[in-house]
Amino acid sequence: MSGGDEIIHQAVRLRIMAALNVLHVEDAVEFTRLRDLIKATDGNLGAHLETLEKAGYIAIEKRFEGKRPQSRIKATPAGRRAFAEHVAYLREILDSSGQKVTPPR
Amino acid sequence: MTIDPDSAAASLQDIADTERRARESLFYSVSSSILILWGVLVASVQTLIFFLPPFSRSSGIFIASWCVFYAVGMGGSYAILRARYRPRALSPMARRLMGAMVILIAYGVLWTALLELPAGKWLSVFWPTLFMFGFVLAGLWVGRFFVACGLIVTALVVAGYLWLGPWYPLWLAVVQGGALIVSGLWMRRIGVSR
Repeated sequence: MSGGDEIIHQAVRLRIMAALNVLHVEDAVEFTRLRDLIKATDGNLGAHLETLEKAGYIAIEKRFEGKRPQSRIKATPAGRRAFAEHVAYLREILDSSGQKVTPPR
Repeated sequence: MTIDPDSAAASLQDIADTERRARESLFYSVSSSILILWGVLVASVQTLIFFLPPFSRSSGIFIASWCVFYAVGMGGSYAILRARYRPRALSPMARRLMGAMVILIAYGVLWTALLELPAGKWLSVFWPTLFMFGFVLAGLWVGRFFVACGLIVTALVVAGYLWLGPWYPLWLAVVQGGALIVSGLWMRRIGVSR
């Protein structure tokens, strides 16, 4: 059994990676939409995005939409791999304990 | 790191919930453009009908313009889905969306052909209400907003049909076309953009 990923396992970061993992590899999501999706505050989300970016799990692209600055976030291939491995690790724990849960697709 | 089974179960449930919300959000984003397209088409065609002389409303040109309306609507919807999902295959949700539209239109065409009533006013209430019932059904999966919108617009369409006389096509342009456009804009606001 491979070990879990301590960076990803934190609840907010787990939700961030779960949401980004649904998008296509080339797709990014805007900061405010991601905030609404994972039900976090601006400050909280910002701090966790920084952690994930430092780990190389996400990429943040800053651009201007008209005059408004906009941050767009997407999962990197390394981030997707790490997330998949962490989900597999969580499932292994459940399988070995005999518990059941709705499996994420 | 060590994770106990209860914590692992809670995390997997959290992931499943987040993925479901993200997929819904993606669906909203894709559907918004399609709703706006149909809204603009409905508003344009109904406005055109309002300005057409009454005798021309059962002519070949009139029927042809409805065929163009559905061809542009279906072709445009497919083009929007393709552009959004490129280079991937259409998602199961997108395929179901296209399938539902085809079934709804086929149902309408079937009964329009089978009921040998004179073409005209009954068709002008049948098609908009059929579309709005599709809206209500979609709302059972997509959200209560669509159920409420479908029912309210159906009631307004029927009221216009009964009481507005010659102003009815213009009423449809505003009420039905407007409802589709507003719904599309609402979905765009909450959907995940690419």
